[in-house]
Amino acid sequence: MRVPTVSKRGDVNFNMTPMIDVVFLLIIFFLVSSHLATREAHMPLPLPVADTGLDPYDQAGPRITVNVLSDGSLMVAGRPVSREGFERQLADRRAQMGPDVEVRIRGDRGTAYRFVEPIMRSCVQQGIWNVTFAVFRPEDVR
Amino acid sequence: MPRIRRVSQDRRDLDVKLTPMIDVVFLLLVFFLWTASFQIVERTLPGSLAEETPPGEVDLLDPPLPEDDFDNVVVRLRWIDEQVQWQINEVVLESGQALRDRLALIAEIQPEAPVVLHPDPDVPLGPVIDAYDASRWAGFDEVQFAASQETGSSARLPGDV
Repeated sequence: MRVPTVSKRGDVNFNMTPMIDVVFLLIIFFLVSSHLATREAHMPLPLPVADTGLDPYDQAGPRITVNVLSDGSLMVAGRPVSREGFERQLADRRAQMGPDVEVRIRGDRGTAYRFVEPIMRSCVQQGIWNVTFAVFRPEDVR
Repeated sequence: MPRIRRVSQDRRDLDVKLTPMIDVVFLLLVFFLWTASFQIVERTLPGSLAEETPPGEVDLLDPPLPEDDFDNVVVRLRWIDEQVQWQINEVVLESGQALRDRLALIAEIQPEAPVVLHPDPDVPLGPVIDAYDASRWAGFDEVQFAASQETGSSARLPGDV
């Protein structure tokens, strides 16, 4: 009577390996897909280079990221917006999140300053002083 | 004969153990490949703004300092023949490195002097941020962008005649 029980136990142990394999694969799949989902928000841009940039994880708070493309067009949350549209969004966010909201300008280093200046001016007009620029470290670019 | 048999048995054992090891190694390889970020880490450069007061209006936030005590260090970036020209208080500098050196020199003497960046509308953002970075790096307490009232208009600067 004992022999069959032993063989059954052995079967159960043997089936664990593919299950662990599959579970690991699923874990990795979800990790990777979530990673890709967060990365989607970051559009690749040749950002300006600066020595005195700070670690971005030091500032955790409400934030609006605006991308300024080389032709001067604006992208917020992956969608192109007009200047008026951006100002409306800015006013909405300012009303929702208060004056401490950070406006992060991710500008192409080749875009003309006249496209960036209105963004900063809108921020000041809305009473937002926390304007930051996304930059690369020189050693990362070279 | 018994020796050969043992060797072959050993080999079979080894073969059996290799498969899960390869599995795990592949899994780890894939995991680290995917999690390794090939994207360059972005850093944050805190910006600050100075709203240019129109002529005739008094800036209520900052009481005007005596002109001779702490002159603004006005860093002007001009866009001439598709090239950037750097100026500090109307003095033309030949390169970005010269700008850095000059700013470091001024910062040693008077780090309290407010630096005002005034780029031409056509200057690309790269050199603008570079000049801003240079001023911060030099150790000035206050570096600000001059925001003119109207885009593209040639605004009057405090030092302009």
